Amino acid sequence: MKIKKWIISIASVLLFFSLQTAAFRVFPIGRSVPELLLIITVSYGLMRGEQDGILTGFFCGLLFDVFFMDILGFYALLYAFIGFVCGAANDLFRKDDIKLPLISILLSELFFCLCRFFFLNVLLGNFNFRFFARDILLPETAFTMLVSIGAYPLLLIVEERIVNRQFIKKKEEGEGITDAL
Amino acid sequence: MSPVLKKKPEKKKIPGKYLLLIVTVLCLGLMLVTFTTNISDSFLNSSVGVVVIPFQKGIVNVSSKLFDYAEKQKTIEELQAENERLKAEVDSLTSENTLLMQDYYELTSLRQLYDLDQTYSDYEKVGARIIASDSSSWFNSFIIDKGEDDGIKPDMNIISGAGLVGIVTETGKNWSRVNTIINDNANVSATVLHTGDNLIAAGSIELIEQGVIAYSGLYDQDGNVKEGDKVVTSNISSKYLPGILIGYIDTIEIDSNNMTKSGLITPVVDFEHLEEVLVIKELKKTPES
Repeated sequence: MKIKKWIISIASVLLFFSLQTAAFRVFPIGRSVPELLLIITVSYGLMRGEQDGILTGFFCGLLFDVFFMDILGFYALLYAFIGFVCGAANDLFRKDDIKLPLISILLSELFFCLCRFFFLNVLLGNFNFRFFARDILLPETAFTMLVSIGAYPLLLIVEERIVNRQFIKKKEEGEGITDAL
Repeated sequence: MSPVLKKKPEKKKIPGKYLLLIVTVLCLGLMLVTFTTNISDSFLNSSVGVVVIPFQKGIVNVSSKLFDYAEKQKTIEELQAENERLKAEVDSLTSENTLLMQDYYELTSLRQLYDLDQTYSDYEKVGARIIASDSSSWFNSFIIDKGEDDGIKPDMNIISGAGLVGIVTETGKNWSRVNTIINDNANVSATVLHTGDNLIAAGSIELIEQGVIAYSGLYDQDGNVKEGDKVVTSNISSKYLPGILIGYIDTIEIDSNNMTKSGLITPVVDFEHLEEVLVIKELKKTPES
């Protein structure tokens, strides 16, 4: 069971990374690309819990760092942190509730963009927030949300059908326990 | 019963906050190490590349096939109109070509006279395909599908048909990262071709949308430099080979110090639609190297 989970995770991360960096180049909206890696980190955090959220985030970020950053660790840390926070909300997660994942993705995306703005722009002396908000933050967030409406259910279905057949059952049991306590 | 059930799975895992702490320390350590020392992360570069690059190549192939298919759906009328237009263009190009050939023969003979046979058309070049771009909308850099195995080294210049695209900043086994001249952190020492005045061309993310790059430090008291003048990489640049076309002067403004001028350059390369680039396999010779 565990090996299956890891294989699925690694394959999804690789696929999402490749899609994010390669395929959307052909169909860009403006200059924006949806943050697929963020979607996968948030989804795994919510569905599987803190540990998986952190690890998924860490590897997504590290992949990104290796290819696009001069120093390693910046995106890895950012994604891992987002994975941790979403993992902490694992208890609130219900399979048939799409609001929580979407709100989590939205908040994570905003946090992610602001962090990048602060660390990669403000610290380098570029303070033009209005430009940043209009040309980068808004289109990217909108695009990410649009894609996550399609991508999140896909991840959920894979999680349910292949990775964890007792997913629903377990969730119900978990509810029972928390109620009992 | 339920506490027993609950305890079992938690036993194996490290609690989230400790894991986060470990990951944080690891990341900060990585940042510090890669920032202070100049050790390139060559092990990671090559090992990750081996796994990820085939994925990306596959996706680029599929998406470009889809794109081609969409292109094929153009109507016949459109194609006929295009054909007419292209025929006219061929005619004008042929006549232009003959003129240029004459110039070319003259140029080669003159060059031989001057013993100046090295222009950038003579550099050894290798073609490469762009397989990934910095996804975070900032268009900082992109990844090409050639790496150390193909003899690519950092600081090699990248051109695309018309002119300068950027420079290789990092290489893996089968991939390299290219930093474009329109990027925020890019500075290129350049020369206005017909007057020989030097300037610094610098990219900025705010100007990418308009498709221009900024320049500054142009010292031109007599006002010889005009809009539309060609800007090429300068001889004194430490990393860029001399004489590669960057673009054309778009605007000229006098700085507040009344000495230098600054403004905008329109690059010749269409950065939005780059697909294939050429890597010049010759490095600029500098005293250190």
